[in-house]
Amino acid sequence: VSAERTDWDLAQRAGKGDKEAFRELVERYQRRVLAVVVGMLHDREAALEVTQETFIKAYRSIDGFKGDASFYTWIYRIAVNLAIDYQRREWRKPILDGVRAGDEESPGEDPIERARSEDPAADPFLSAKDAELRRRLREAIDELTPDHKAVILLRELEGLSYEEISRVMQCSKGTVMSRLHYARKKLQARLKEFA
Amino acid sequence: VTCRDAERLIDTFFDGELEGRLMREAALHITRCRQCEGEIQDRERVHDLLKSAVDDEVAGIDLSSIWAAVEPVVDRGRGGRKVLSWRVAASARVGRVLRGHDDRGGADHRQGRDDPAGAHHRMEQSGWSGRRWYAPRVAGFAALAASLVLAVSLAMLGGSNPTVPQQTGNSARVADPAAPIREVAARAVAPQPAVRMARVGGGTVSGPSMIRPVAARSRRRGGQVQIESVDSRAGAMAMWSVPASDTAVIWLGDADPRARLPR
Repeated sequence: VSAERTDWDLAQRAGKGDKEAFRELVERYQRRVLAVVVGMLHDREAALEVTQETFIKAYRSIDGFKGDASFYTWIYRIAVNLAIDYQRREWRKPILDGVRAGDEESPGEDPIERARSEDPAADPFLSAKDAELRRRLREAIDELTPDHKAVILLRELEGLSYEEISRVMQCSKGTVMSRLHYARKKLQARLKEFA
Repeated sequence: VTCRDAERLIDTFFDGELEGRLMREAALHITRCRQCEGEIQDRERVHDLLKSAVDDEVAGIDLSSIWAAVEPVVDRGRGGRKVLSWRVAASARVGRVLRGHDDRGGADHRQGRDDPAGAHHRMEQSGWSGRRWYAPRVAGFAALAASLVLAVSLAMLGGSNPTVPQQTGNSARVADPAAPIREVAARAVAPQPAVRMARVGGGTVSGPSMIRPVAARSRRRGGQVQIESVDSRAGAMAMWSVPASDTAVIWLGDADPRARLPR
C-alpha cells in the first residue's frame, strides 16, 4: 500500500513539474513495462520505442492519473494500448519479421552444437531442448492476437490479478479468464508437440 | 470436485483467484489426480519458459535509453495540454500574419512547428491568450475558406479533372499516359490480360463479358462508343470509354493499342 502511495506522491509531484519525481517513476517501472512490450512484440527495437512512447504519453497525461487505480495498472494500460496499436500497424508484415535476425536458427545448424558453444559447462542436450522449447513458445505467442498476448503476459510476467488485468485491458474479468484460458491452451499445445 | 469441475477451475486455482471452500476442494482434487496435476505442471512450464525467454530478451536492452528519450520531453514541460489544440496555435499564427503582427523569429518558427505548446506560450506573450484565442481562430478559418474558394474557382476555370483526357475520339493523346490509365483501371475494372481485341464503333465488341454490357447499354441509349487511345509506353493498354459516362479498360497486353483501334 505504501508503495502505491509513493507512486501517487511521485505522480502528483511529476504533475507539478518535478522532473526527478517522474524520473523515479520511469526507473521504477521501465523494466516491467519493457518486459510486457517485448513479450508482445518480440522486437527489441520496437519494444524500446513503444516503451519510450509509453512514458512520454504518461508524462503528458499525468494529470489523468487520478489515483483510483494503481500507477502500474495505469502505465500498463498505456503500454499495452500502444503495443497493440503498433502490432495492428505492422499486421501485414510476416509474423517473424519482428524476430531478431540473430535469434533465427540458420538451416542446418545443429542446436546441440550451438548450445555447447554458448555454455560449455551446461548439458548441451538440455540447453538445446530448452532453446527449442523457447523458440516454439515464442512462435506460439506470435500466433496469438494482441489482446490474448497482453493478457497472458500481464499474468505470467507481472503476476497481475484478474481484476488488475481487466482494468488494464478495459474488459470484464470473465473476458480476462477466457482469454487467459485460450492463450494457455494454445501455448501448452505447442509445447506438447515438442515433448 | 471432479475432473470436470477441476478443468473449469484449474486456471483460477493456478492463479490463486479461487477463494475459501472452492480453493480447498480444488486443491484436494488436483493434488490427488494425476491428470489434473499434469495440467498444473503444464501451466508452470509455460510460466517458467515465458518468463525466462522474456527476461533474456530484456537483459540485452540498455534501459538508460528510455529516460534519455523521455527527458527532453519532460524538459520541454507539459504546457501543450493547456493549449486548446495545435490548430488554435496554427490559427493564431495565420491570424497574426493576416494582421501584420507576425513577430516570430527563425528560431521561434522552428520551435513552433514541433511544439504547439511553445507557440501557445509565445501567443500568450504577444497578447493572444485567455478568452481572446477565438480571434486568431476566426482569422485562420477565414484564410482557409478563402483558399478553398480560390481552389474551387481555379478548378472551374481550368475545366474538369486534369487526370482525365480532355480530348475524345480516336487517337486522342494524353500528356501522361500512365496516370489516367492507373486511375481508371483502379476505379473501373481490373485489367484483363485475356482481352486481345476490341472493335468498337461499328457496334460490336469482342472482349470479356464485363465489357459487353457496357457497350450494349451505351448503344441502347444511342450513344457512340469511343476509344481514347493512349501512348502505351506504360503498358499495352487502351482506355475505352462510353460517353454516357460508363468507362472500362481494355488491356491489350501484347500490342500497341492504337494498331487495334477502329478508324
